[in-house]
Amino acid sequence: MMAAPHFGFVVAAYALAALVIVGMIASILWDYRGLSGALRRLEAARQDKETP
Amino acid sequence: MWNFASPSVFLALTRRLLPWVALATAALFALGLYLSFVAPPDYQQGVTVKIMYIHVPAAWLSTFIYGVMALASLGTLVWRHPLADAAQKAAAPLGAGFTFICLVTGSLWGKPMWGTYWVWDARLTSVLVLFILYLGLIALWRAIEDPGRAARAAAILTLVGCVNLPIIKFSVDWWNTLHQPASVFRAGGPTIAPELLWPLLVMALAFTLLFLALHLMAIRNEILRRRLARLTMIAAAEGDSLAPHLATGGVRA
Repeated sequence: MMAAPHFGFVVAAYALAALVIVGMIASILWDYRGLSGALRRLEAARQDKETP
Repeated sequence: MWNFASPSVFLALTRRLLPWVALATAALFALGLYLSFVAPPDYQQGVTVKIMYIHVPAAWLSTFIYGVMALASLGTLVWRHPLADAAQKAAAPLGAGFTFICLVTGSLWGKPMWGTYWVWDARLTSVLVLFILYLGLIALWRAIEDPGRAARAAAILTLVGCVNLPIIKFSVDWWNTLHQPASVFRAGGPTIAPELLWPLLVMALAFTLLFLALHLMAIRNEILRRRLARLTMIAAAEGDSLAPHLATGGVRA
């Protein structure tokens, strides 16, 4: 199959699709990590403030 | 439906549902990629037919996601569902991503099959318009600071953009295009041989489940972003000096 003509186009298409999909997954996970971290820090700061 | 209007209920449901959806997506992708790899080459297209196993599902998702956004827009404008605008906002970058995959993989298929990466064909042009619409919606959300106004403006633009969906679908019938007519969902059944059709259907299901998983995750992020914005404002109002630098995840709704 690898010797077939136009095989490079197939590889390029799959590589690009994988790159975009991994990028979307990574950006959503990165966003989630940042948001939940900020919420945790905010909660901790509030609790520290309330503790005498 | 209204039971899921509560962000807490949605978050709890997502927590339970997400691992199973992710697992099913991974399993379907593994099966779909295997079937695509072992599928025989097409008698005319040769191995380039394998590009169809990602191009067609991405094309299907590009219009499906816009349909989801149109429904969410109705939820915002008509039913005022509290999560509808979050669903609409979260779907736009995913729609742009899958439409980009559709356009580029189509282009990579077009070069060896048509002899060119791009033609201003009705189908290709209408999908490019869809991609620009997605980018416009993302920009609109970022341009308007008030989340309520941004949600209404984005909902109206989304509904106006719906006119492009039948144009995409029927462009191959209405105009004399280089792009081939429908070969899977058509009256009279698919025109593709079963050996090539099954990998395509499995990959389409895998892509759809991937969108479901990513959309659930992105809506969850949107809920957390709004919660963080609200708590940061409360902290700021109480004179908490920690408030400004706590919102590193981005509080802008």
